[in-house]
Amino acid sequence: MTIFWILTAILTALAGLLILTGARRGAARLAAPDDAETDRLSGARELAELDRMKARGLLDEAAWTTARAEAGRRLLAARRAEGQLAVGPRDGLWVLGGVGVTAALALGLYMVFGAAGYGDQPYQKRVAEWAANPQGLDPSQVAAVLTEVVRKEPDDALALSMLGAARFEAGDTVGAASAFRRSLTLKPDNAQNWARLGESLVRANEGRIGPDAEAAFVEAVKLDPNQLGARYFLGEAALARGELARGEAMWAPILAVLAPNDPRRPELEKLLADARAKAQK
Amino acid sequence: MKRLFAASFMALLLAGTAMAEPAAGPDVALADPVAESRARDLFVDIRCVVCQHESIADSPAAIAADMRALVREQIRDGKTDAEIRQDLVRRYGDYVLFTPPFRWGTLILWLGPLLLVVGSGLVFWGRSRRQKTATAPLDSREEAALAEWISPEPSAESDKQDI
Amino acid sequence: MIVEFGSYALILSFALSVFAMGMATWGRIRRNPVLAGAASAGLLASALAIVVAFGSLIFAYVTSDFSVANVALNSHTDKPLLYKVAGAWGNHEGSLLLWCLVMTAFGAVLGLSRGLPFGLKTSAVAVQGALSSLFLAFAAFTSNPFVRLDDIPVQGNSLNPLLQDPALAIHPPLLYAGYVGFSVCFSLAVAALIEKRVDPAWGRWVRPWALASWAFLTVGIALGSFWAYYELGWGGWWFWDPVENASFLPWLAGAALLHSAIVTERRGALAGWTVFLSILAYSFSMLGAFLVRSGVLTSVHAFAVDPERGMMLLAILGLAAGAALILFAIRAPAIRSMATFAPVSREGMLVLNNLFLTAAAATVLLGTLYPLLLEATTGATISVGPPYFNAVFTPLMAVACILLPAGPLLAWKRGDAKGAVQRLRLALVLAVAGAGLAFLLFDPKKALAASGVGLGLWLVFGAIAEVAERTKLARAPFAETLRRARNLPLGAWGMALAHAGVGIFILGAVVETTFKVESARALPIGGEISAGPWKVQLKDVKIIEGPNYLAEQGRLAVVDVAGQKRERETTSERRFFPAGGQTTTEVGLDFRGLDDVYVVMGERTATDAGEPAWVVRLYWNPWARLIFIGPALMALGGLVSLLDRRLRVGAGPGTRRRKEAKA
Repeated sequence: MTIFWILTAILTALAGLLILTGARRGAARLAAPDDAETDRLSGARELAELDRMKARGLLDEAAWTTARAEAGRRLLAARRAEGQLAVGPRDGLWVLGGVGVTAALALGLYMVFGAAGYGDQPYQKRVAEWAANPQGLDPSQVAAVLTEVVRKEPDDALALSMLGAARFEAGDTVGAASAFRRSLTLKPDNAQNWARLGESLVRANEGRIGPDAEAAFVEAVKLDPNQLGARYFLGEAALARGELARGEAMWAPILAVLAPNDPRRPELEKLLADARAKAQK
Repeated sequence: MKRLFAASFMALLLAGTAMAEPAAGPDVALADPVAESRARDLFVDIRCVVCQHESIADSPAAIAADMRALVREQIRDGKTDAEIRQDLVRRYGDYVLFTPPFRWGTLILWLGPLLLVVGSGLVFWGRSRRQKTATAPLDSREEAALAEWISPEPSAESDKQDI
Repeated sequence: MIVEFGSYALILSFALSVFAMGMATWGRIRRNPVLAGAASAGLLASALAIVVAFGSLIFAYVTSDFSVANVALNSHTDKPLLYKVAGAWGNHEGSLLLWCLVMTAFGAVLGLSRGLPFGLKTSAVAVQGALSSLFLAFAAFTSNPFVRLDDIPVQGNSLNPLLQDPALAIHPPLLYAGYVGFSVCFSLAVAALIEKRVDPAWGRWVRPWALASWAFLTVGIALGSFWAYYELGWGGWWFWDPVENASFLPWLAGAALLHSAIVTERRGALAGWTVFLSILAYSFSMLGAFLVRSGVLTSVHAFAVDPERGMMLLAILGLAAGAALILFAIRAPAIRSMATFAPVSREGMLVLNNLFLTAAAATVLLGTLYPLLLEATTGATISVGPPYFNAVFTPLMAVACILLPAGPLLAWKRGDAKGAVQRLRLALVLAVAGAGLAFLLFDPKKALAASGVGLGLWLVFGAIAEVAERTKLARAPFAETLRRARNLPLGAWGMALAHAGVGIFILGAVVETTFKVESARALPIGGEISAGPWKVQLKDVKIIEGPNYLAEQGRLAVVDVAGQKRERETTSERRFFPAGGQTTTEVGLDFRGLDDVYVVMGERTATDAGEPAWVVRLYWNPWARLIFIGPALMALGGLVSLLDRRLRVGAGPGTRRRKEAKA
């Protein structure tokens, strides 16, 4: 915070210094060619210009004469009779006063509109803070930490799986699928990751089980027939297509494992019953 | 394995497009090339009513595809360009055509710039004709005053020719 | 700390601009050079403060500091570094900060320049300070990019992937250099009105600013147009979209201004016109800013809108432009020049040029604002689009272009029309011959397009005729011609380049628009499609991964139907951005000489046989290259003119002046 105010003071002082330099240069201008001189030079240049244009054939003789007359009269009439430049004894006070008012204005407005004391929050710093205190982070923060870990070690399959899980929790289903996919490229024999990949794809697709999700679930069950989550989705997809036998085969282990009073049991049984009824029609 | 990954990429892409506008299939052009070119010319003039200032020729929106199909159908039915335009205006209002109507209210829109050029040109022409008195050349007194004021001549000016 | 430092710097910059305005006003009234010097330095300090502020904003973007609301809304950690930086000016607040940066920087240059009379310079510094104060106040108090968030999001909201493109990254800085450069012309014009003096010296100070701003604007607009052409995927490069029109208005006014300033610089004539055009050019810039940011216009590329801010911009526009125009109305008689000229003369042609360009600007202004005004007054909604502009704008500019080559061949004050036409005889013959050839060779035969080709050739040959006339080509020994060419001032070369550039642009625009061919078909791997003389075959499609997107990339072989030219490969992609859920296309461009073969990969579908297929759209854009080479030449011409020695004295630290004074 102190450093901030020091920087602020330095910037303001620099501005003031520039202004004072400018004021001093302005005082030196009194010795430099004044407006009358500038006008004289411009006038001379203008008349020489007309002569050159005539020499080049851009003005014919008659035109040159009248153009010169117009310009000459205008120049003679405009010879400055204006007031000389004048400096006063209290100019320095005026300038300093102005600088002071400006600085006060800037500071005052900043106090109203700024957020003094609010430090920078670079992304890397925040992620490092989260990595140092993993307790109490919400899923998106965990995902951010893991993204950094994975960026440093792209071949860490475990970190990728965890990243996928975190992103899934955080609601970034597309990112979760991408992470699971990368993990599976490194370690294809992880049945749970296949199942999670499938689930991410399903959720990304708003609950619809597409062919790719289904393929992922098939892979999961192939590696580990006890992947109940995968079995559930495969069964659901099968029943939706009307493949009753496959649906029953998929769900049988689930029904076997569920406790008799598990609330999910009646739902599954009802779905199976509906499918059977439809098959018989 | 690779095919599975390719498939999951596809899922992501398709999922993405599903979230965007439902993609309209490629247009079926009219068989007769003259009629098709009439259709194309009309498309440029018809505004896509849900887009931000795009014609149905350029817009990827589904309703633009519908409007294109409608126009093609009407050409096939033998309607003239004027009739098709009128029909669209009846459905959607003047808003749907990129050519503003030529009415009393839009007279300044259509004729304004032309009137501006012609009017200003006439004013300029009139003023230049009224400039009868030629400027007299500088007399010796004026020349002397000028020379006194100007000298010394500026020295290090460019010697280059002028345009 | 750095972000807050930037926030303070922005507010300091505002305070310093107010200081500069006040000090300059008081200094002018008392004719006190000390106060005036302090004011000029105040403008410089204000510019430096904004540089600090802008640097802090870029720092926040580069470190992905999501506690800054602006960064959280417009950035994402996955974006490549270039686009993180470009994201700083890709939104309303950031681009407004950029606008202020350019304005204060140009004001600082104005403050540092020597050779201007005291009254004029001090008044100009005061006006520039006033303009900067207005825009800095708008930035700092209504559109502050440094607003902080209490609840810091984990990730940013991601910039639109359409805008992640190198051309588009550089497009705003160039445009703003143009728009805001005209603010100095505005300040000098208002100062001239205050001082009641518009003379050739003033013309010489205004011209470099007008030229530089106009050149920047030309490049900025052309770059935006080129981006639209290769990015949006349907081959168009100008849509008469309201936002495009908003940038075109200051360009037209600026073109008129830089020509009118020539007359004022040479002969002191057209004083009123030049002052008016200076005010108009910057007023159009401010109007454009208002139209784009207020939500009043519907356009594909308006900023995220806020009507309240729009009203404030309108108030700034009304205040600044209104005050300037009222002053102009009052002081116009006082600045009238004595310089006279015949209607047929170089001045006369430049008056016509002013008229036509102003009428063209009026057309674009009417076409853009009329629907709004009509709806506001009568409630009726109409649309004004390309057919209107093609009917009104194009004939106007065509007539202006027909007259164009005669201008540089006429003498000042009283020109010889017959002589000029005589010297253009060859150019005319060649142009008509070219038009005839175009009619016969291009298919289908279109008379209007052929005459457009003739017009473009007329301008090009007319520019060559200009240079030939000045160097007495074929009328004097070659050594003499060379000598004259070497001595020809850069301004003459710049003029020839720029006018030729207009002609080349017309050639490209006419031919591309009339003769382009489009076709679309669903292609399986190995399928072919053709358009015009080119045929394209889809070789394969694969998935690739970019830094923050996934894409389907099609590889296509382009060969001409006759089989004579070399086969080349091009790729086109459909990119999907998971973070925002958007899909964009990358066009495949095969540059074949002057033509473009333009391929766009579309959605995946299937053939009737069930094979996977992709919708491929193929465009043949003949002479498309010229559409962008033309403006490049125009800008180059402007730059070359800027380097002319005549203009450099008086628009910067004037060491020459001091040498002359001492002599």
